[in-house]
This record gives sequence, C-alpha cells and structure tokens, in this order.
Amino acid sequence: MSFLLTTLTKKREVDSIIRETIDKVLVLRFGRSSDAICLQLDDILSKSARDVSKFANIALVDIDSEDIEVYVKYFDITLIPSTVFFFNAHHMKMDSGTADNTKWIGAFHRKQDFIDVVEAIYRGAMKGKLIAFNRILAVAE
Amino acid sequence: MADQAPARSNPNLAANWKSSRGKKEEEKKKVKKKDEFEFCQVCRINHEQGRRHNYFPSHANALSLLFSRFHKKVVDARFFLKNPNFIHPEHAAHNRFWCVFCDCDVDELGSTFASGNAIEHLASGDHLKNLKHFLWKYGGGMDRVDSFRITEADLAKWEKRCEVLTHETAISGEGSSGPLHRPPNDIQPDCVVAKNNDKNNINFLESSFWNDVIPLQYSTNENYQVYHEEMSPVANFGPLLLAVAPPLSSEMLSDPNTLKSNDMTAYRSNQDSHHSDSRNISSDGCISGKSAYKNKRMAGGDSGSQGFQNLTCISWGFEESKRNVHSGAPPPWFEATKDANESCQWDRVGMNSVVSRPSKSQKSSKLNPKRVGAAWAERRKIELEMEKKGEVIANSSEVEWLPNFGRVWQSGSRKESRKEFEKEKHKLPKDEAPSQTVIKMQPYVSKRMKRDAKEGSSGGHTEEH
Repeated sequence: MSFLLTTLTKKREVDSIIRETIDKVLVLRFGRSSDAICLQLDDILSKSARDVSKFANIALVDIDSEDIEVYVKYFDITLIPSTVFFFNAHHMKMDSGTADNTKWIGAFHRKQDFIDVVEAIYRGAMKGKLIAFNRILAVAE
Repeated sequence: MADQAPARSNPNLAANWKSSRGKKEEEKKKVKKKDEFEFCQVCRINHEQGRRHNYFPSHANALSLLFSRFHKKVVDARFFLKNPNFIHPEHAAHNRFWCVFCDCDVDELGSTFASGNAIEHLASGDHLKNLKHFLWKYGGGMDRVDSFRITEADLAKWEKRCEVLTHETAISGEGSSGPLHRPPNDIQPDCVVAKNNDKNNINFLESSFWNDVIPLQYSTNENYQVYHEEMSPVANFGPLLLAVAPPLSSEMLSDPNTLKSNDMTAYRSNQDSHHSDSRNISSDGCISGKSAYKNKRMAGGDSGSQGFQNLTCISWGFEESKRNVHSGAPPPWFEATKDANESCQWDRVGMNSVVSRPSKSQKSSKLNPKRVGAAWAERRKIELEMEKKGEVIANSSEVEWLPNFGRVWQSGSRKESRKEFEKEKHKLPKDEAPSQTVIKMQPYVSKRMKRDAKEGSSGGHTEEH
C-alpha cells in the first residue's frame, strides 16, 4: 500500500517535507509497510489523501531505515504505526483520550475518522492552537 | 346654444379619441418592437433586448474587436493608397477582404493595382452608407466614420498616382515582349526590408501575414541581388521581383526599426537616376535573376556599390547566409547558450515572482496571522523563493535540524523537549543499544491498565469505580 503515498527513508527527506509544507497539516506515518496494521492505516491514508489534499499532505516514513532513527528517537516512537502531525514545522499535539497526545498510535476505524482528526488539527492550528481535541477510538486499542 | 355645444364638443372628442388611439398603436408597436427578436451582427446572436443590447459589455467588447480587426485592413489598404503598386494576376486571387459593414467580399481579381478594388470599395458611397448604418445600429460613434473609409480626395490622389505609374511603366516597358509587371520604386524598400528581416532572423517571418503569402520561389538573396544589380548599366527584370512585393503589409514597412527612411530615399534617388539608363525587362526572370546574382557575387563589392553605403548590413558572407531560416538552421532561441539559459531562468523567476506574489500575499493576508508558525511560514516562503532563484543553497548546516516537537504531557516550552532529546542523545552512546531496544519494545501501559491487570489477577471484583 505504501507505493500510493510518498515514502521517506532519509532524514533530509523528512526535513525537507516538514520545511516545505507551508500552511498545511503534514501527516507523517511512521511504520513499516509489511506490518498488518500499517497496511490498514496506509489504506485509509491513501484513500483520504485526495480528500484532505487542500489542507494536508501525507507521507510515510520507513522506520527501518537507519537515517530515520534520529526521528524515531526524537518523536519517541515505540509503537507502529504512529502518526505525527505538523503544521508550519510545528509539532501538533492531539488529545484523543489516549495516554500519548503527541502522536496517533494505531490505525483509524474509518476514513472519516482520519479526516476528522486532520481537520480538527488544521482548524486548531489556524487559530494558533498547538493541541487539538478529538474523541475517536483507535483500532489498535 | 344647447345644440351647438355638443356639436362643438364632438370634433374635440373625435380628435381626442383619435389621438388616444394613435398613442395606443404606438405603444403596441413599441411593445412589439421590444418583443421582436433581432440579430446582432457584432455578437452574432439573436436577442430581444432592443436598443439596450448595444450598451451591454459583451456587445461593446465584440464591437471594439470587430473595429480593431477592420481597422487593420483599412490601414493595409491605406498603405497601398499612398504607395500604389502593381499586382500580379497570380496574386490577385490571394488578396481579398471581407467588408463587415457591407457584408461583402471584395476581391482583387480585376484590379491592376495592389488592393485597388479594396480602396475603391472603401471610398465608395455604398460603403459609406452601410458604414453609417452600421454605426447607427450597433453603436460605436459616428465620429469613427472616417477611420473606416477612404475619402474621395484620397481616392483621387491615388488614381492620379496610378496613372503616373502606368504611364511610367508604359514608357519604360516599350519593346518588351512579356506582360508589364514592373514594380514601382516602393518595391525596393520592400525588398530591402525583407532582406533585413532575413539578416536579423526576425521571427515574424513566421507570423500570420506571411502565411497567406505566395510561396517563396526564390530566396530573398537572389531578389535582392537583382535589385542591387540594377545599379549596373544592364538591368534585368523579371516577374520574380513581384514575388516579394505584394504580400508585404504596411505593418512591416512602417516599422521604424526595419526601414531606414534616409537610406531608402538615398537609394531611391539613386535608382531613379538609373531608370532612364536601361530597362530590359525579360520574361524569364528566373535566369536573369540568377545571372544577376552571380554578377553580384563576382563583383563582391558590397560597400562600393552606389547608394548602398548605408546598407552594408545587407551584404554578408555566403557561409553566414547558409545559417538562416531557409537553410533549415536551428533558430537562435533554440541554441542553448549559457547566457540565454540564465536570462531565461531569470525571466521565468521574474515572471513567477511577479505573477505569484500578489496571489500569495492575498492568500496569506486571508490566513490568520496568529496561526501556528505564521512567522515561520512567511520566512520560509521567502526562503523557498530565494532557493528557487538559486540565491541560497539550502541544506548546509541543516544536518542537525529537527522540527519543533513537544513530548508527552510535557510542560513549558517545546525547546525543553529538544534539550531533553539532546541530553539523551549524549547519554545513549554510553548506555549502548540493548537498553534502547528494550525501551523500544515496551508498549505504553497506563496506570489504569496496570491497575486493571492487577485487579484482574488478584480477584474478580472489577466492576466498581
């Protein structure tokens, strides 16, 4: 499924995509394409990429590549898939009732859930909020 | 008295009745007129808007377009009005124009002079009448009448010039066997201009008016050389001279860059002095032209020939002449020189910045200035533009760059999480990889989950709380 979205394997690529996404939400999915839940999430991401394309960019990051390790550590990624959101190179937090508010862990139930999350983050960011609130449940939980 | 009163009042009544009836009819007519569909030639639509239609912007636009198109034609015709010119019967069929005002096609089939029929048509009374009607019907202002027609005074002048021209050619053409198609003096400038264009590789050779022109049978070189040869006592004229003349439009000739009037006049006077010397108009223009060309080549005197001192740019080496449009050389804009590339790039950048800046600024002005990372975004946009221009080569000293990131339930500035990360990074090499992997594999277990697990393991009472 990862071939449908841009897959980043280098730190520089991640840097540049963060720095080049201006006034849009950047969705980075950290994971590996062979993982079952990653596949499920990738499916949802690829299907909704076009719907959110006006206010969000989606990219996949392959955690297995060594160059990415810095980011894996920096973002405290311990479970895959983890989805991290950025807006104007600022990390966007989201309070979705889970323990970790820095990232979304696991897949989404439906396409609409993902779109809602991204929209909530975008709306919050446009109002200057660094944290968005949305109550949906992850599949993994 | 009592009888007279009604008698008096009766005619009044009748008159009133009549007048009221008339009014009603007029109103009816007006209503009818309003309802009637009519065809607007300018917009090419049927409409029921009546006279109001003329004031609609679409109509006004179409009208101005139509006027500008027709004005071009008139300008072309006016050029030949001032410089009467013979037209070759072969080319007569190619030259015709559509008069929008009269709804008729004016062709040059019967005329001996270039756009002669067109000039006559534009000066005719019918055209004036139609033109006035058109302007009245579709708007546009009656003051424009004179710009779309030719006055009778001009026509008279033109006719005189034509007479003089025919007279001249009749004298000079005595004894020639072929048809009389001697070009007037104005053809020389035409030819020189064509030559100039060729020399400078000006790309309007491919422009529209060149397309509806007769195919080029002889290279412009040869034609030019023939004219040049005219300076010498033996002049050879042929129909090929005309191959260039008629298609040239006034636009081209009136271009101040291409036409140096001083040079022309000098040349013309010079040429006139030679007119009387010799006029051998040969019917086989091709051969004579080539021979003349050869003569010229042999002589090799470019600056030395009379009347051409100021036009030395026309004479150039044969090798150079190979590299032109006719010899299939790549056009200069395809030649990828560095300068050209750079200039192109700069142009593009300039265009981009010019085009995109207003839209971007509009967009960013709409966005909330207090949005997350607004200042960064603005700065970054400028940076990106600079990078596009190639001014700043980014990616230097950015190996260590990390985005802003806030850790879980972290309080305070986000820079602190960065500092934490830096500390950990320094520690990690000492701690080695195993511990790292342990951390990695450990999933998050919340207190509640832990408690639930404990409770689950300790006993069955899990329902409370």
